[in-house]
Amino acid sequence: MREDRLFLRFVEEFEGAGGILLYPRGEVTLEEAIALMVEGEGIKSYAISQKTPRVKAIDSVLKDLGLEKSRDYPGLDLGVTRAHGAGALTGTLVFVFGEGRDHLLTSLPRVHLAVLRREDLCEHVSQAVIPHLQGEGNPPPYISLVTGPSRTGDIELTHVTGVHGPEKLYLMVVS
Amino acid sequence: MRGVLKELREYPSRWRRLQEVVRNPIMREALERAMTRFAQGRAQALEGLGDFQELVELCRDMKDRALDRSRELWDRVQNGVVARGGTFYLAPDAQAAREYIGRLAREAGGNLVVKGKSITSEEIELNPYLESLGLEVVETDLGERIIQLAGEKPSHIIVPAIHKTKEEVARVFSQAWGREVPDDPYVITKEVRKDLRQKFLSANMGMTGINVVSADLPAFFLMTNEGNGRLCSTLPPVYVILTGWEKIVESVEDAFTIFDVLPVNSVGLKYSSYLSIFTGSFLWKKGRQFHVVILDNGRRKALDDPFFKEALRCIRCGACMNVCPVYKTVGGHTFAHIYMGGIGAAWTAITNGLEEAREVASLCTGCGTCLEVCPMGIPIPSLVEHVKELAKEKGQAERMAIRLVAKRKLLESATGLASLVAPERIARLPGPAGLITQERVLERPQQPPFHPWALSRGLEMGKGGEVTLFAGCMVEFFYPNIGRDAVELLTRMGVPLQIMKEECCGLPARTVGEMGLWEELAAKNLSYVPPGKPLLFLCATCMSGMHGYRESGKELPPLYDLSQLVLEKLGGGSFPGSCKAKVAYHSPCHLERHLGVKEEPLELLSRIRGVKIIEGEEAHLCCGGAGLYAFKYPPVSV
Repeated sequence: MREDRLFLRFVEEFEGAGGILLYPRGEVTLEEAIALMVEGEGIKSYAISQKTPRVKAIDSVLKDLGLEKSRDYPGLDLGVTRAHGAGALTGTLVFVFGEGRDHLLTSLPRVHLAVLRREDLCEHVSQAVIPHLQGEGNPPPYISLVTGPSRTGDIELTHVTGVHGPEKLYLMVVS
Repeated sequence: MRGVLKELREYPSRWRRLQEVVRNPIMREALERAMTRFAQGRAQALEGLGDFQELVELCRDMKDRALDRSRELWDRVQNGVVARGGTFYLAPDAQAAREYIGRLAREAGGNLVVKGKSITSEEIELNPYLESLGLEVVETDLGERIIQLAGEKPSHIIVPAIHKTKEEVARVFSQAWGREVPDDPYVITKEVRKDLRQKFLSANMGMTGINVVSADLPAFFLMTNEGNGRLCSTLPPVYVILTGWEKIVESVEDAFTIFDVLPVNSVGLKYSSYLSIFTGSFLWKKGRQFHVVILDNGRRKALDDPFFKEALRCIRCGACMNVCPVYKTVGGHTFAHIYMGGIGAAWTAITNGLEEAREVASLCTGCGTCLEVCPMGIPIPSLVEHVKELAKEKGQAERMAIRLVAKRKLLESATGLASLVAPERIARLPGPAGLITQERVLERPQQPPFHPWALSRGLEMGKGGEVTLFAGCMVEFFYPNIGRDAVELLTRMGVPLQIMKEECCGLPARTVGEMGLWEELAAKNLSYVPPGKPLLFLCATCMSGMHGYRESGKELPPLYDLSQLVLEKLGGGSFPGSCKAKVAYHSPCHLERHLGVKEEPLELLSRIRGVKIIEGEEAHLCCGGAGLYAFKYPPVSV
C-alpha cells in the first residue's frame, strides 16, 4: 500500500475504533492542539514517558498550560507515551515496554496521549510487533496493542468507554 | 429398561423447566439483541478478511499442525518461561490446578486475588476453592463481576450478564456497596472502575486466562476490551496465567492469524481494544513473580480421539452460539454445563465427563448453522453425535423410541392403525404424551402409503426406470401426496422412475447416538439400492442420511434432491406448467447446510410461471424437527 494511502487507511480505522487524532495541521500548531485536548477533557494532572518523541516540547506545553506533573499514576488525568508502531488495517497502536513504569501510563490515566512517528506505521499490526520480538537478546517482557479506548457493552449492550483503561485515546503523529 | 422408565418419569419436570426458560421474555429479548448485533457485525467485518473458506482452511491446518506437535511445543514453552525467571506447571486435572494456584495465592501473601475473565478457571471451579482458603476473589470483567455478585452463571460467552437488565444490575451493585446506585450503564461502569481500581492496587495476586500461546519465543497473547486483563497482569506483584493445553500455536505469525479472525468472528470488531503479549521475562522489579499453569484435564487424551481432537481447535470466539437457534431460545444457563452450546457438549465430554456432556448434547438439533461460521472448521454436529454415541447410559428412552421407529413392519402397522382411528389433526395425546400436544398439533398418517400407490401406478421395484425414487418414512406414511405429485411431475417431464425397497435412512438413529443401528440400516439400504441409477429424494433428511453412507467408503450412485433433478431435466427450458401463488420457501437444514443445496429450490420456483417468492426472515432457521427432538423438547422445538 502506498504511504499516503496507508496513512489515510490508518486514520480511518483508528478513528473508527474510537481514537482521536491530534494532528497539527494548517494554522493549528502542536501547542494549540494539545491545549484543545487539555481543555476539552478537563485535564489537571499528567505524567510523560521520557521515551516519548518530542518529549521536551510536549512537556513544556503541558507545564505552560498549568498542569500538575504527578507520579501518582492511578489518579492521573493524562499519560503521555510513545507508540512504537501502528497497524493501518485495524487502526492499532503498538507499545513496547521494558523495565520501568511506562506501561502504567497507557493503562491507568483517564486520558492517554500516544505519540507516533509516521515512519513507524505498518500495514498489518504484526509487522510493527514481530521485529521487536525477534531481535537479538531477550524479547521485551510486555508488548501492548491498543485499538481505541477501553470499552464495554456488558450492560444491555450499551457502549461505555473507560471501564478500566483510558476513557479517551488521543494520538499525535509526528514526522 | 430402568433407565428408560427413569427418563420417562423425569420427562414432565424437564418439559416444565424448559417451558419456563423459553417463556422468560427478558432472557429471550436480551439474547436476541446480542446475537443479532454480533452476527450482523460479523457479517460486515468479514468483508475485509477475504474468502472465509480459505481462512478456515488456513486456521484449521495451522492449528492441527500445532496440536500434532503440542507435546514438543509445550516443552519449548516450559524451557523459555523457566529461562526467563518464571515457573511452569502442567496440571493433570482440575484438582491439581486448583491446589497449585491456591498455594501460589497463599504464598503471595494478603488475601485478595483479582481475576480476568477465564472460562478455564470456571472449568476447574477455582473461585469457590480459593474462597474456601479464606481468600477474596474479585472478577474484574464488568459482566463477570455482575454475575459474581449476583451469584449466577454466565448466560453468554462474550456478554456474560446479558440476561440482566440495567435495573437489575443497579440493584446488584446497590446491595453489594450498601448504597443506592442509579440504573445508568455509564454511571454504573464509572463506579465499578473506582471500586475495582482499589482492588487492582491492593491485590497481591492477579490471574488471567490466555487466548493463544506461541511456542517460538514463547509468548502469551491476551485479548480484552475493558483493559482489566492488563491491570490483572501488571499491577499485582504476582501474575498467574491459567490456560488450556489446546491454546498452543507454533509461531507468533500463527498467533496473529488467530487474532485476525477472533474479534471479527466473535463480535464483529476488527480488533479488540487490547491485545497484550507477555514473553515471560516479566521480572522488572524485585519480588515480581510470573507463573504459568497449563491445564490438561482430559485435553491430551482428547488428542487421541479423532472427533474430540477437532474440538481442541476451538478459539472460543462464540460465533457458533451467536447463530445457534437453540442457544437463542434457551440461553447459556440451560444449553451448557460450563462450556456452552453444541461445541460445549464436546468440551464438557473432554473436561467433565460424558454424563454432563450428554445433557448438553441432547439440546442440540444438529441443524449445522454453526458449520457456516466456525473459523476453525470444527464439525460440531458430528461431535455432538459422538458424545451421544459414547454416553450410552443416558438418553435410553429416545434410543428405544428410535429402535422401535426404525422397524419398518412395526411402523407400517402402527401408522396403519393410527390412520384408521386417529382424527385428522391430533390435538391431544393421552397421559404424559399430552405434553407434546400442548405445544404442537400432530398429523394423522395417510392411506394408502406411497409404495402401494406407486406399485398400483405401474412403478416397479428396482427396475424399469432411469431414476430410483427413495421416498423415506415421512413421505411413505404421512405425506404420500408429495410422492404422488413428484411421480406425476417427472412422468410428465418424460423421466421414467422406479422405486426400491426401503428402511429408515438411519439419520434419526445418528441423532440419538445409535451408531450401530445407523450402520445396520445403512447396510440394508445399500443392499437395496439398484446399481447405476441416480437416486432421487423428496426428503432432505433421507438424502443427508444416504450421503452419510459414503463415510464408510461405500460407493453410491449420484444423489439428487427433487429440485436438482427437475432443473437438470429442464435445462434452459421453462417449467411445464404454471401456478399463480405466493410461495415462501423454508430451507431444510440437511439440504442447505449438510448437503450444500441452497439455490436450486429457489431457482426452480422462480422458473414456474405465476409463482411469486416471498423471502421469509427465518427461512434458514431450523424447524426444530430433528428426529425425535420435536417430541423430546416441544417447548424449545416450537
